[in-house]
Amino acid sequence: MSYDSIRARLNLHAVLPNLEDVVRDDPQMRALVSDVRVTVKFLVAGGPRAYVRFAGGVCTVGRGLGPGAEGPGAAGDPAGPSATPSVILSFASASHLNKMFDGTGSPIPLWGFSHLGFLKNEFTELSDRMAYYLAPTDELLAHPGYLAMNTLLTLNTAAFAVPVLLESDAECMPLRHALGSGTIVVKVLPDGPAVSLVCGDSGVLPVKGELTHPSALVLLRDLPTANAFLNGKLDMFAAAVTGDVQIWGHVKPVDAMALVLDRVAKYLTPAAEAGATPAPRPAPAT
Amino acid sequence: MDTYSFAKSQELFLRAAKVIPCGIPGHFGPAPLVPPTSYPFYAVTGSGAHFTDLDGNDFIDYMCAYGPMVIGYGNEVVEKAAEKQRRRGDLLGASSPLSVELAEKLVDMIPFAAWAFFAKNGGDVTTYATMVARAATGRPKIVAIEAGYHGVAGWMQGLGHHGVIAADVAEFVRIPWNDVAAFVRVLAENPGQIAGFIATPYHHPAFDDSELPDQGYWESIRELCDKHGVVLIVDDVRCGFRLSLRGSAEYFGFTPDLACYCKALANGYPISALLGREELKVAAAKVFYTGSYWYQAVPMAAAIACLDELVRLDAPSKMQDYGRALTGGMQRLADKHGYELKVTGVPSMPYLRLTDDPSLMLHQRFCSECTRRGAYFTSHHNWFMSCAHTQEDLDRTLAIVDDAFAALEQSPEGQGGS
Repeated sequence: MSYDSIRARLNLHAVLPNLEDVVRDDPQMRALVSDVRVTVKFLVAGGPRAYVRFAGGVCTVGRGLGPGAEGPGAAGDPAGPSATPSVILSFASASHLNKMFDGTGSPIPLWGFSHLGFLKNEFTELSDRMAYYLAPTDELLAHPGYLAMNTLLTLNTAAFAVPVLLESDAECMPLRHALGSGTIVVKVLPDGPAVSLVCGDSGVLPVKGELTHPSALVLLRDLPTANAFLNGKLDMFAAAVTGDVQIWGHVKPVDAMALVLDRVAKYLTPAAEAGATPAPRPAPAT
Repeated sequence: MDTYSFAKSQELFLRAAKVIPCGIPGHFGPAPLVPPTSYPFYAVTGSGAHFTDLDGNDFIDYMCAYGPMVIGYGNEVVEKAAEKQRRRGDLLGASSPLSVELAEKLVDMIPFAAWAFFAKNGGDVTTYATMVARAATGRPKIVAIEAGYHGVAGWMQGLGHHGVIAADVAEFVRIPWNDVAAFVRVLAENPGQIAGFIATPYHHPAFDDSELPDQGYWESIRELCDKHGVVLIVDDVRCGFRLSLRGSAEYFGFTPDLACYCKALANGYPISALLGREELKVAAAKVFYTGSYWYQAVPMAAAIACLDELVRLDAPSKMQDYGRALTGGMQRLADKHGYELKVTGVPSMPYLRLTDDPSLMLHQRFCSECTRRGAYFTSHHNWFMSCAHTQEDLDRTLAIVDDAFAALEQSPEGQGGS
């Protein structure tokens, strides 16, 4: 699979789900979409698809086109009459989508023109907010609230990137068997955020939060430690010895997960280096 | 029972991490030790089956430096032979006569072998074995076992690991252990392409239970190798001389074409060996393979003395007996405390695991509690017995195990804490 295709999948399936957390945890953003009822669908020609649904003040991001029968390409309507109206953003290629996440390109709206105002205003503001939380500086990280959000979103991105890379990156694919069956939990102590990776025969499912009965546990001492760990600023070997990072349970799957995570930067770092944080910034051509 | 602390080890490690990648790279590093805060990182002295760490803690060593220590740290016979050669000269301007003596000794001990080639590490000779197989057959591919460990070169690690590229593994086919049908399939899919089959005498991967060969497994592999002209390589680096002094292939009743030795060969002195059949001697001679320190005479002197001692002590039997007494005693104690301790592999190299917790966290706590009391147990690798372990060591170890189980009972939910 091409570099752009993998990057597009990461943008849609690992970065985009952070919108859920931004809406939930940022009061300003929650208020912004509290009355919004719409599903934004991302459709890449010959590539990945994802949807972002807003309803009842809650944002839900998923793979595929999600519920809602409106528009070309929508598959069925499991949500029935309560399905939200849709706006479909089409992308000619993976590269086209990536340019939007880099803030240098615009999608082609295919359906739901009545919602273009939402895309141009609320959705763009929300996307910008997510981008802000994903572009840490030392100054921003000094604020506890920002530290918590950046840590949460980076943790989510890492977890959701694992299945994407196992499915698409040629060097990660051979690592799938090493993940085995079981649940890897990565948790920030004492009561910080957590993510779980449920590994099984059908693949790896990332879940926000801590599942019970993990087969492997990665414990990060506190939020600053977790943030440094996730942003590659921690001396992992020293951290393991001091107990800042603890690994319990099945070590082999954690090793494999770490190898996969080491590949994330190959796809998501260039945009960050260029000063454009990966985030959707739709600017309808109309 | 008092427990150890490791303040000096940790302090030195933090210094090390600044100037050495990983602080301590590889298998001696803290990564496989769970939790690292319960283990020593630096050993300063060793005697018999014990070593003392930087903090002054004494351990009964069940890792034996991951295998090389086989008749005791500082063994007098080996040290005397090494010292004698050291005075005469170690790495000189020409090869040592001891290389001939050592090769003759090994050829005498290992029934199938007609020649011996010396290097330093196990990985030197496993790679050399694959080159000899390719030279002998003119074919490119090598069949190995999934999760089988043969060292750290690119082909041994597999794609996805840092520094490994697709070309490193392109000519290596991995199949499951004990799966003769898979080997048949690979031979059929790659007609005239398979140069060698490499495996350990029994499957002893890290992180998983050990598996002995099924009845008839090696006979079938041997038969297939003969039928298809494939060189059968046994990686006896870890098992060598702990199962049989005639080689582990002999122990399991088959004859390889090439056999790799290292760990127990010289009781800690750096030397490895590839042994082979007469028919492969020319191919071995044609492969250019060498290293700056492969001609050191001191390790050869140590190896000769060590092999003599292994014979005198009937070492495999002694280690198997000790392993049986240790693991049997531990299983009885586990049972007494309400746990189930599974033992796999062979008694001289047992792999142990508490099955009560499939996540292994309980087992990790158990091993760390034992280590903090002076029995050096790691949780994800087979252990090693030596001829230096004594009845006193056994009694002390079992007392430690009893106390460690009691400690687990006192804090049953302690997993995840340090």
